[in-house]
Amino acid sequence: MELEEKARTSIAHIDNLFTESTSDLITDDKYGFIEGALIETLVQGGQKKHDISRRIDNVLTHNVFSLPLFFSIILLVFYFTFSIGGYPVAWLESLFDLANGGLARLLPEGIFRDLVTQGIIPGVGAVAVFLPNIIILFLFISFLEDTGYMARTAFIVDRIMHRAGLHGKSFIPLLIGFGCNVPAIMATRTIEDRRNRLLTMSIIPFVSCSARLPVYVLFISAFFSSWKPLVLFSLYLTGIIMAWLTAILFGKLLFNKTETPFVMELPPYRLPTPKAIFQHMWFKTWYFIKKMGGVILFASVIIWALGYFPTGIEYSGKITEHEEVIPDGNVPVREPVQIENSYIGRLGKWIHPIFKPLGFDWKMSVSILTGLPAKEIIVSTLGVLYQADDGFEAKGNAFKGSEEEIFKDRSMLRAFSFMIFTLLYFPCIGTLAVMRKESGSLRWTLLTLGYTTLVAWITSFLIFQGGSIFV
Amino acid sequence: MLIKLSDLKKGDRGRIERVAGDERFRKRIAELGFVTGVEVESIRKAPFKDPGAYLVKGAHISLRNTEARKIEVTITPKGQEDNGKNSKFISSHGSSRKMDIPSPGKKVIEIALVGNPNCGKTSVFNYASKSREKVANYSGVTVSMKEASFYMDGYHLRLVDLPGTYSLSAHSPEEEYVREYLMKKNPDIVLNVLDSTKLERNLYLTTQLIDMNVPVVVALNMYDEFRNQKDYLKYDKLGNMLGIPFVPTIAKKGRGISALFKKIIQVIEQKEESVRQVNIPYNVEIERAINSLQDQLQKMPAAEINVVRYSRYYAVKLLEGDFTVLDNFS
Repeated sequence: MELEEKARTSIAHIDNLFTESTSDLITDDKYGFIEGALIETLVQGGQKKHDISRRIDNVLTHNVFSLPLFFSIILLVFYFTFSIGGYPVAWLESLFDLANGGLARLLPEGIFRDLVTQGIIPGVGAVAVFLPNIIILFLFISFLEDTGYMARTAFIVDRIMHRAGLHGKSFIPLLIGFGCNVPAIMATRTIEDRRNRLLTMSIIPFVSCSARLPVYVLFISAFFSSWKPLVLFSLYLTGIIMAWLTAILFGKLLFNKTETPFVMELPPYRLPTPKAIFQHMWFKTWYFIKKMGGVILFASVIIWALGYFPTGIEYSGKITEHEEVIPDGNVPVREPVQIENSYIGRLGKWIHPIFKPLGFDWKMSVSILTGLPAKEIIVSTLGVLYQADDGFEAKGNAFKGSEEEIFKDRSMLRAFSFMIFTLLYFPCIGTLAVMRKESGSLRWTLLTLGYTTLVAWITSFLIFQGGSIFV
Repeated sequence: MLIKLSDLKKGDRGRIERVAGDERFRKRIAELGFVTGVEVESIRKAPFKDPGAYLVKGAHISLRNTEARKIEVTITPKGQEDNGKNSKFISSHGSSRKMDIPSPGKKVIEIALVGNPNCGKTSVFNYASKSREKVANYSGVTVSMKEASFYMDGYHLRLVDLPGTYSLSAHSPEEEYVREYLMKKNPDIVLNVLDSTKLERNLYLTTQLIDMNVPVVVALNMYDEFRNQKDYLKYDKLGNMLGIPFVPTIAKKGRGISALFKKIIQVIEQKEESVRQVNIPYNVEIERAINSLQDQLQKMPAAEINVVRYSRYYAVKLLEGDFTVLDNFS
């Protein structure tokens, strides 16, 4: 372009005349202009606010104490999030149960009642009950952000994160991921650089969120009674290792080398007003509700419909039999045979060959499909399919008892393979929705979806087939 | 003796002599105050000796050692600190003329909020939108922004909170976004929020708004902290020099916010006398190049952009080697 040519000629001309480059000269002149203006108008008293921040930093970014302090703060945040949050979560759970029981009695028998009591309320409820946790977590995050501590955490862990090609600011979102992946992806907003932000987003699904825990608890208590902590730890560790390797792999393959310089301001410590914190918390919470509400509702209805239809003749009788339970205040329970013959059951059986090399039976394949909206649903599906009573122990035992002949001797391996698959595969629909929104890229979201599922399959395959050699 | 900034010992100060590295790096770092002649203090290193924290122009900035190695400094002997003053300064009295305010007398005022990260921009937004009609939270392709609107003195004020940036170059999606927003959406006025305790660095963004030739009102935010430092600013005089009205605010407590929006209305009603279009004086050779580029730019056809208005800004950007601005031309 003519104009570009002309500009380049001018730059070359000026570069030749001075020791500094044209661009640097412009910057200098800008600062010179500011300085000239300030010399005439600004009188400095010499008492710098930063002195106080510096003293606080002597402790909070201390060579030795900063990391233990940081981890204590994070543990405290998680403790409060889940312990205090536990009460309102329990209230909400009973509220949803109550509403469901009430509606089951009020609404006339039929598809609509089943849609509400088996699809919408349990589906939305499963996610909505976590809202108190999310609000408390957001409250803490807003506080830590507004005080200026978040920038310090990035400062102290940057060295570690840099080894995986990440930024110090990626650390907090990854930690939040252990609670829930959705707010974790929202938290990547603090990362200014797009490369680092996308990279962080794409590895968050490997961080094992709390919704995966029920699945682990179920299988670990049934199959690994003497190894409980170790197996649980190995699962979390696998997730972390996968996240780490993925960051390195994606960083090398999908982005060019030009890393933006790590320049970050460490703002002075400030005590934020409660109003400001609540406002920030509320912005985040509202965003969460808006993003999640529709998607979860939609997904619950779809999964419900796939499990409900077709309502054939041979087992419809059984449903009416079962509904006699309703007067006791219980919700109509789906029959295993109904799920088996439903679309999702057929789909699960149809895709079963894909999962067979991983050691899964068709029931597990079905539960993997029903777990797409939220992974804790896997547990309830397995419960229905294995006709188990309530409680993890019972479900686990029912599961144990129904093994097919060929797997008899490899039940532990199969259970482990299934847990690993649950950990790694398809991040829940909420996570994907928020990722789509935050990355602004459908392709990136689909890439993450495909990649995580592929990694899950390969890892479980290696574990089951590799393990089978030794067992 | 020249040493690398990364080798500067904790508590030592040094004067920046040379910044190596590519253009992009030098620009990025200059926005934060790392330019030749400026004094830097090494504050500390992170637990694994990397990155380091440095005090420059009143702000604590974290730099990785790989980057700090590109900056060379001479150690300032103890007791000879010069408060980080840039040695060469040019008189700030630039040439100026009356600024034309777009469509005066209109009843809807579009206000774009810009400022450095951590300057309290969001507090201004939150306080102003307290009486909100509607707050929309967009999380766009790469950046998020919020919008609120309210009524004041018979005007409908629409406030858009743009992402926090140190400059208006095209280094990050945020900066590019803010720049495109200002030039394509043509807001009636730009509300530039400054952290008063880091005036010098915060004003760097303001100089780019001056180049851009858009009407600006500055909120001197965190004015209480600034006064607590026993600092004093003749902001009316500063406003006259820069052609921009300055209003002190303490956004966190909501102080000065209504005065700020009253000032904006005054500017729109053309009752504010300090509003002028000022040209930042560059080096003679640069000015000559700017003028000739401007002539040519004003003849260029561009669909969405008011080229005449932004020609000086474009010319400066071109001379900075930022050719992405040309993407707006057919």
